[in-house]
Amino acid sequence: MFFKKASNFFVGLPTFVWLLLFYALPVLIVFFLAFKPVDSAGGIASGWTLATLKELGNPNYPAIIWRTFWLGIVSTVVCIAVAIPISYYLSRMSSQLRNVFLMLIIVPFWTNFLIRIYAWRVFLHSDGIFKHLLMLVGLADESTVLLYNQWAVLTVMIYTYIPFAVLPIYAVAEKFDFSLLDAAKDLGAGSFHAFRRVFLPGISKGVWTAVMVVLIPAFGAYLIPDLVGGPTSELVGDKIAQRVFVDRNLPHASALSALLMLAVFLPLVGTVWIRKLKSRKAELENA
Amino acid sequence: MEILRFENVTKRYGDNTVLDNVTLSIGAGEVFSLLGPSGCGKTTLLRICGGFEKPDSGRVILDGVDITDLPPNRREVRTVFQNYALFPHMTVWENIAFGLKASGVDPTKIAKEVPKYLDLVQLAGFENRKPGQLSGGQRQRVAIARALINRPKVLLLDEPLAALDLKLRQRMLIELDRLHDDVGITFLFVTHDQQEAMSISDHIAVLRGGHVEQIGTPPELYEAPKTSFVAAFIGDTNFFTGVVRKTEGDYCDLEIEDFPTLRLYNDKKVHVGGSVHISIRPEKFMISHERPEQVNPRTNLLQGVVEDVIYLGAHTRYWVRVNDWRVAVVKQHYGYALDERRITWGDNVWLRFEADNAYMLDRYAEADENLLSLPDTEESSVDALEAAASESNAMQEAMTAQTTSAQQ
Repeated sequence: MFFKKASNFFVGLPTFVWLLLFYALPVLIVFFLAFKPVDSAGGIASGWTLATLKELGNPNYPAIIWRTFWLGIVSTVVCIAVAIPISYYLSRMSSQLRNVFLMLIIVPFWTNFLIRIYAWRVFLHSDGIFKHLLMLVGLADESTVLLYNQWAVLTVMIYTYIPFAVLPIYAVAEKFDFSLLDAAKDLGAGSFHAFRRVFLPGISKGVWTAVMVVLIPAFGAYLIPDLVGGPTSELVGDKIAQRVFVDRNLPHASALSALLMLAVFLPLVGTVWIRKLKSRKAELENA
Repeated sequence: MEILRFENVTKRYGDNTVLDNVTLSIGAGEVFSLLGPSGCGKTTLLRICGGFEKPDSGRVILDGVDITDLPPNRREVRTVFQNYALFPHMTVWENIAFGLKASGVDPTKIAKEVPKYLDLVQLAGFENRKPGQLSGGQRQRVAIARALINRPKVLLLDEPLAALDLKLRQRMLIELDRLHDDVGITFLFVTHDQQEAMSISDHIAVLRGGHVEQIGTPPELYEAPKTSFVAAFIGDTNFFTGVVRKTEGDYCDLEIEDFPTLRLYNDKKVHVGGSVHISIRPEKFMISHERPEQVNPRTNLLQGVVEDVIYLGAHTRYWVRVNDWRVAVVKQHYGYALDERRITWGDNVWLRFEADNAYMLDRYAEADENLLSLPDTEESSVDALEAAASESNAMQEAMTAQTTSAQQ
């Protein structure tokens, strides 16, 4: 008994140390820096201050924060909405066909992220193929600008994050027992009813993972808005980068980062907590 | 009255014909079983009825309406799946209510109906459990309640007992029988287990390789099998092949190579010189040390030596060598077995059987002999040992007396 526990402890130790050193500690440092003053050379001065937190009241920020949120949420929703049917069909395919499609989803990862964003710049450029296509069907004219606005940011964000949404949902959908859909239809449910009441709850774990996996990088995105967005489509990520590299104001960057972290973390904790309460309630009812 | 009819149903997967021109008629309110070894097409037929497979040709008629092209959700049949297919994220109550909700039934009516079906399958008090918190038997009962709540015209049961252990299987059989009596809905029952089929069915269709081998009531199939496959698949038997040497009224004398000539009831009206395959069930032989008194000219008497004995409590199986043949014999223990002078290895014995108790087969294939439980295979193969174990478990049931590992 003791040895089993001891061996468990030693097996878990490296992971624990790793998480502590490279995850918990940096997060704490970020929170901690938000309360430090900045010195004139761009370093951290001694003492404590609430000045940085007050600076978050910057009148430019609400618009940026709002844009970060809606772009993040919309791109997540779109990614999930696209990833669910993709995962459904992937998991019903023959295994050869499925491997081909999985490869097609994964292959872009082998190309450098920056190169893929630059490719989008070429696509969306005023002389690019997209604009010409849109002009052909009459959805755009010569004056339309596809690049350097928030729609370009949204498009590229969705493009970038779809594989991140597909993979966790597919991983769960692949294990889904499709005879349950037969059962639902057998009991008189139409295809949509069966999909919504049986398939979606069955893959909900994967969907929640996908939400996390997409939402978190989407909130922190800065390369995409930096490269395909214009000055009117700045996100919090851009501001953090700007505070670090241009202003050399680490406490301010930390405060913004902490804000982003809390924005993701608090709803997450809230959801987990509510779920726990619910399952405990269900257990009590059964007892 | 007929409720369900399969008309010339054919289904192929590539070159493989799974169902070959199957025609079946199922009466309203009966328990009809599709019985056959795996790969015989019974599950495909059930899935065609449920709407999950389309036949390549042929029709499915439910209560006078052609449902061949209807999707599953528009058919008034419900399926109890082999793995039950309960929705894991829903409670028992939600699972049972699913069918009503899906067809848009008023919630107050649902709230009234669900408890009725919970009571029917004796699961009142379990409504808030999830399927994961139930035992196998309870899950199955949820699956049945869920399927019955829409009052389907036919309930399709796909090997519903296969996942349960033997004792539970026997209890659930009785339970299914009770449910059937309670609700009066037609059951179409798919199984590979002939005991299950025999004990629950009004009619059985024996399927093999995609075609119907024989349809009949359980006693008809057991006593009057048309083919060697049915004879060997349902219960155990002895096959003999011979030539008719003499006919006398309804009876004939059959000459069998290396075996005493047998007097048989000539129900196929075979002429002298005709070749005949017959099946004689092991329990039709009476075995004794003493020469039985010959009661009439239709009684056959054979002499042999006991080669193998398997004592099974309610009955004993013997393999008796008669000339070059091994004859399987079952003796039911009517008296107190400890007081009897037991028949054992090496004993010289008499076998007696009446001319009326053999049955002439329409078709015979030598391969079907492999379905029989011969003693040398019985002792060597693990499968046969398991079958023997399951047999001894079911000692009490008279039916078991005649049925052994034939389902192998």
